[in-house]
Amino acid sequence: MTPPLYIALRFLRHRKRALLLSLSGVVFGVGFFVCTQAQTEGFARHFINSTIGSNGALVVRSRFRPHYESLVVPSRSASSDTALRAFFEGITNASEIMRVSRQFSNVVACSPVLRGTVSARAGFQNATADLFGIDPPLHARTTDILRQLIAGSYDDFRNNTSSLIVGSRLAEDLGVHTGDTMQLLSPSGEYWRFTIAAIARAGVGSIDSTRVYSHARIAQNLLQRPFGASMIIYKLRDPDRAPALATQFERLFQHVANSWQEREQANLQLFMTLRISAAITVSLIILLAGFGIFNVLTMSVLGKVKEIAILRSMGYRRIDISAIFLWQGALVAAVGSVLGCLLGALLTWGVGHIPIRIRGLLYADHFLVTWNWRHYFWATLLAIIAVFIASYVPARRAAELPPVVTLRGSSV
Amino acid sequence: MHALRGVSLDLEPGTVHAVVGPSGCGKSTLLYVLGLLDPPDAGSIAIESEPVSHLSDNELARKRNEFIGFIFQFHFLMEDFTAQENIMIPMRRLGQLPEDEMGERAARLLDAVGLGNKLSRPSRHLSGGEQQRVAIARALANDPRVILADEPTGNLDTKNSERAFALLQTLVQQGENPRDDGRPNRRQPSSRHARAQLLKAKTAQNGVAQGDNNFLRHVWALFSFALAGAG
Repeated sequence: MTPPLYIALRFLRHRKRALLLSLSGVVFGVGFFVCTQAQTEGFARHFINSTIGSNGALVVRSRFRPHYESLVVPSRSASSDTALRAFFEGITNASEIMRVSRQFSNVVACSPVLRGTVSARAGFQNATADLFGIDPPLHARTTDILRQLIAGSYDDFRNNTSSLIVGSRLAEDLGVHTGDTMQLLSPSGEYWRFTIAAIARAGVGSIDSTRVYSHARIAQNLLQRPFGASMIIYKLRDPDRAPALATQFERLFQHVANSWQEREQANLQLFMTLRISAAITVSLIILLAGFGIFNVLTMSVLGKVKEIAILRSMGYRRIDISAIFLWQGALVAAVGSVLGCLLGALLTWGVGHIPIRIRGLLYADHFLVTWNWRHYFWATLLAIIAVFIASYVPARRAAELPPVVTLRGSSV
Repeated sequence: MHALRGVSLDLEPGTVHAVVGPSGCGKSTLLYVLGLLDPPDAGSIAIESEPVSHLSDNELARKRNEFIGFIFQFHFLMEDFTAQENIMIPMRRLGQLPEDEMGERAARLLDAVGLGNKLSRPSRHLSGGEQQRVAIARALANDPRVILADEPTGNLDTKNSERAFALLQTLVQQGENPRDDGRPNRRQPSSRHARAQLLKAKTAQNGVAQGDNNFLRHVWALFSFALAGAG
């Protein structure tokens, strides 16, 4: 143990009240930081997982006509390459695109979907539905549809082409249950009757309140589309790399490809704003703790002027004196961060068990939290930086105290 | 303001000096300059013929730690530490002894100043005289070449003053060589000799009094005393 660390420990031990005050600020700051980040990211993560689980991490949709570079150099004000594209609805040669895209290591599975908007009717209730015509086995491998079923059976759906899987909130709105009959209106004005084989809950309001799944072939007939798939959705090993893969797919297949990050950009920005807002708010606690430590150490320096002078007379260097006060800050930061992380984990666990009924953007029966080591890392880093800055000024001041003035002032 | 004017000292090992003068005449300034705590504006200082005036602050700190032992009028003990720990503080900075040996050496020094039974007592729980004796023991912690004492008995009553003064002399007379490193024992002037010097200094009213002492070989001590009733 270095002499400054030894002396710093003793100074701290004899200033228990000030130590506890400084420590509590860091502990609560770190703890609250971890807990709020766990909550905000918990909701965001739930939303991301649900949307990826329902709509895929990557979607290939409309074909576009490739644009070839003109030999004439365009003016600077000419619009970009993308703006000149001509789009054509639907996927041409979906099976070939799927065969090629499966060669990519990041692709786990893919499924063609024929999508269209229809009017749904059950009894006297009507609602607008987002119809997904799917290939049941492929869709089960690509999405979390099996996990999302809260009633009925996927096998019943797979074995009966005139059956549907209905989103949970849409089923509530229409007042239907598994086994009931539901009608979908075709563009020709004809109602098609279906049996509800299962009810699915993705956990995202916008999906659960509109989504209806049918067999792809039936959907094609109902929607009267000339193509069998309006999009292909992908399940990826690393969803974070979806944007890069989307760019590759666009270039390769001449179809528009959207990553989940691009698709959910607006919602992701909302969650990010909330996270930053919460982080800033809670960081103020840590900054206040740093201010408290600054006060405590400044008072400590003022109270230890005599000790500093005698240490200097005994051969302690300026850097040793600085180190004594920096060590005090470092010890408070280290112990405070460890205790703060424990408090944060405890609060996160506790908050995760608070029952709360959420039926809006997300569907949840309790607070959603996520366990991420990065929250603890950032909270600790923030605490260390705040405490270091708070300790540095008093430490520097202590090192610059001229010992002779103190010794002379006490001895003359 | 000139604190010291035309002071030139050539101090030999094995000698004891007492600077005596009225308050404000520059005794403490001289000690702090010689103790490398207060750099002189002009002139030079050498320890064992090695010039030290040009050294960096870190090097001066090392010299202080290694060569100089300070005793102040106010004991200046660290209140949060026990008597034994106070003595170990300069040793820790020197870093030449392991923890247990530092503890043993501090215990021997405390024993030498008659406080062997108060090793673990917090310094703030010691009496004024005891605290000053701990300060004396601390000044000897790193086996210094130079002991600078700034009115070491100035804050003590007559009884404790006599006791501390006698202790300083006795320690040196009897020799204190805890490290047993083969170096000759330190010697300081006999009480009678120191008093003779003090008298001599008082006669001179102020200035530097120097005496020779055959016992001193490797250490010299410089005391400052304010003249009673002066200044």
